[in-house]
Amino acid sequence: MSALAGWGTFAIVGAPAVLLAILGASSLAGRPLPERVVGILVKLAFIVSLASCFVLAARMAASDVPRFSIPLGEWFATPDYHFELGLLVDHLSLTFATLTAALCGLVGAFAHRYLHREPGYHRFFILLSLFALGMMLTVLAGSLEMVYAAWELVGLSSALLIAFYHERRQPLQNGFLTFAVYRVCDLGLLSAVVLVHHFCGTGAFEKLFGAGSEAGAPLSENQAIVVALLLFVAAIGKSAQLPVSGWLPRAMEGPTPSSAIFYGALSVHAGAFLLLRTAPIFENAPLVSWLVVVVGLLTAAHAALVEQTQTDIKGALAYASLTQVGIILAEIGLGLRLIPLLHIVGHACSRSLQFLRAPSLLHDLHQVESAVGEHLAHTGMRFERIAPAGARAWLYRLALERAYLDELLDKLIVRPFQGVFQFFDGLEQRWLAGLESVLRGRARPPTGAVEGDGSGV
Amino acid sequence: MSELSLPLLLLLVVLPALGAVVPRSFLTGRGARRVLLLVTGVELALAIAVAAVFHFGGEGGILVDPFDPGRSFFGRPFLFVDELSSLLLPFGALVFGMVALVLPRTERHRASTRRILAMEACTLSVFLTAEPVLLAGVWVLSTLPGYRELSVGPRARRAEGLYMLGTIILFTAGVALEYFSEVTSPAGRLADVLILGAVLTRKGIVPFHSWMLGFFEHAALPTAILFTAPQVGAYAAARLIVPHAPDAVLTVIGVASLATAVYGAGLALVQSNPRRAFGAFFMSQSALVMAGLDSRTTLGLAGGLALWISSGVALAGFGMTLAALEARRGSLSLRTYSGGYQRTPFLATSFLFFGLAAVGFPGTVGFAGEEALVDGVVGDFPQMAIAVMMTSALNGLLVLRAYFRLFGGARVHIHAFQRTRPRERAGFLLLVGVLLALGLAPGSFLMSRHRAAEAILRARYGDSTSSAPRVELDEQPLTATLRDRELLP
Repeated sequence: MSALAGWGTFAIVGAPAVLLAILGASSLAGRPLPERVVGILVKLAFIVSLASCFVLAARMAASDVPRFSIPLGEWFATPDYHFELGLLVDHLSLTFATLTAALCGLVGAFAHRYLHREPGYHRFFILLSLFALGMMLTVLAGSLEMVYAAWELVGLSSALLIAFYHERRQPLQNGFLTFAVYRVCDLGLLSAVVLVHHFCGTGAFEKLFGAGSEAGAPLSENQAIVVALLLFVAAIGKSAQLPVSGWLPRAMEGPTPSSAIFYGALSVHAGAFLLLRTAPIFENAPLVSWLVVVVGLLTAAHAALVEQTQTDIKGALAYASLTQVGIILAEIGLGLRLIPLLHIVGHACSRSLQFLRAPSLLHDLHQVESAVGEHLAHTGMRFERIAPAGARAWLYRLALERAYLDELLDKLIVRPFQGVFQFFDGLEQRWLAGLESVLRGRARPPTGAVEGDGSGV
Repeated sequence: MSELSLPLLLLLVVLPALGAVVPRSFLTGRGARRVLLLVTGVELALAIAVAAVFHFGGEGGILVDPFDPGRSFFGRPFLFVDELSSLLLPFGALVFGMVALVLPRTERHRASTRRILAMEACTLSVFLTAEPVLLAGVWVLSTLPGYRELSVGPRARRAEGLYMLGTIILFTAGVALEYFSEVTSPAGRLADVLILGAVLTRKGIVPFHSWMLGFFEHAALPTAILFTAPQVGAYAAARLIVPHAPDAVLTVIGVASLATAVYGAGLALVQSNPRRAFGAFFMSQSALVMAGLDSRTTLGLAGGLALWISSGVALAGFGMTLAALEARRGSLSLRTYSGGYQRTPFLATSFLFFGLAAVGFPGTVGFAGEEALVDGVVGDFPQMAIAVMMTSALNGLLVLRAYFRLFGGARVHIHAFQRTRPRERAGFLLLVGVLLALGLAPGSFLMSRHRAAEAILRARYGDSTSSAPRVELDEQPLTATLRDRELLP
């Protein structure tokens, strides 16, 4: 491809990077920029990014080149290890990059007014630009290693934006919960990266998958199964699939613009992107593909059920998102490529609009009801009509408790972990207290005096 | 072997040592503060100069001092810089410089100018020598400030102090025994065991780790950081243990280090005292360094050496933000959300950044080290790779938990002085800059650690493991001791 294409790709990634550098540096220096300047910079950055996407798309369409890669050399290398840097532009990455630039720009423009004079105005835009950079690098990454590095940026910005209103307890707890799920599931991606590098000697997509996905990945069947499973674990975390879907409705504690872009549009689809990007590996692991279908459909059914009992609009939208993402994952598991991509684009755009409209919707509804002089008729109730009468109460309870998934994870993972390490912490303190007593020639202090320091996760 | 034209190595040791022995009456108030800043600043500049000469101006191999007393009196240099120590010197000086710059007023009586300079002299001396007897001497001297920190005052702690005394006794006994015995004799083996015990205790490796959390809980944070962050124990391991320990011993150390890493990470997550949490966090991350040192591959070892510096710098920054916060709020707790982000956003951001940098977040230099470590060991020792990744994940959780608990919440701190002082800002920004710059372009840094790893493994296995060009050394013997111990090819 021409130099124009290379510079265009740089501009797509570079614009949010420069924005992050400017906003971050001004904040670190203790001289945050005026809101008006921030607004202009945000719009400018995403317009540049979006325009570059359009130019690239036109260029690719005109030259009939399905994909091209831009090698950027090595980030770091030793004689026995190479971390390759490179960008890969194809219909998948360009679609996601365009979506990211467009939605980040729109949400940035919306948030500029929505967060006017909020104490965390600058923090929001720093995190938005960090997210945009992470997302752009994730989708344009030319190697699995780069995907992992960028993936972490997306996760961190997501958790910090959930905890945006940090003076309240709930957002902080939910931000931590989300980060915990991400962190644990990201182990899957990191393990996959390490294993692919170990098996194939490279993580570069061009080398792994050749000229197209048809070439398949140079992994044996067993290797492909292990790697695909690990990649799926990472996708489960980011796309809030069962059994860790509980974090998504909790993530709605963040400001509405971030909810729109993260959990309605981009971040929640990152798992789907990962599966699409590594699809050739899944083609070698049909069992895992079927697992993707099953988990996706179960998540969709679960979310559709739980959605019925949500009393707040953002919670309902979160579960509605989850339903669609579950279906998208099922489509990917079935081996489809174009349909899930179209599904993602359509869903991301419409859901973002719904999220951004949500804060004013209730206000408008009340105004309409006041004008009409009565409550508007209830719509929906489809689930209630098809559910057997005897099972309704049970289903209602199940939906209300979100299928007890959070409690289950708490009971099976969090509490045992906490218990084990609190026990060891108590032992540590008792040992040192005992030793101290012996050295001072005193009797040992009562056991309770040193117990219970652990405050839990 | 190249010779410096100026006595920079001697200056690196003598300058802070002189500051440490100046009578207390001369070092009071602002004067003491200025002396501390001046000496640590000059030390940092000298260390960078030495590293620059080694990497860009030297002929490779090793760099010696023209006025080294060892050469005059014993015919061999005591102080030298090789690939391993070339970056450890600026690393150590940077940690001391940063601590001196951001040292809170409330800690100055415990972390006095004389004490900090004494610790700096000891630490840099350690990094400049491989002579076991000298190492034993500075090991003792470097342990004393930490021991004194715990053993003085009404709340003196004897249990943790006992561990420190233990490391002194074990190390000096080990070196003495080795000095008077053959390496392969039973006495020589016993000497290795004693030295190993001292190293594992000082590094806080399970089951010799219990003092670590107590030390961080009770000592002044700056002293605790300066005592632990340079990881003198890792240096002793790299010089005295790794080059000639049997494979089985390395395996045992590796397994113990990995257990410590995961155990420390879990322990850190259930703490309610931020100091204990930091202690466990430190124990966990520094155990990864030890695990890397015991790796049989050049890449894994290089990853360990890279993590040594990256996590050391980041953890020092993390600890000092904690100290700065303590200076403003008094005792801290992780039980509740303490609030205060609005008043201290810079401190909060620094705290988060250093924490994430310590666990190898992408964009920081630790990322390259961790990647190298994991990739280096996954073939021969996949459990180690899993443990490293688990440790990183758990420690990442700790960082965010501590960040939310210490800076999130509605509580308003009305103490008059909450904003960040210019000196604090400069110190933390310096560290952020180093971690980011090396993180964005870690190539040369990692390559240097790779060469150091090759040298260590070459000393251990001979040339068979070397995949990079051999570092040419002058045939003139450096020290009989080094040659005997196969520290140099």
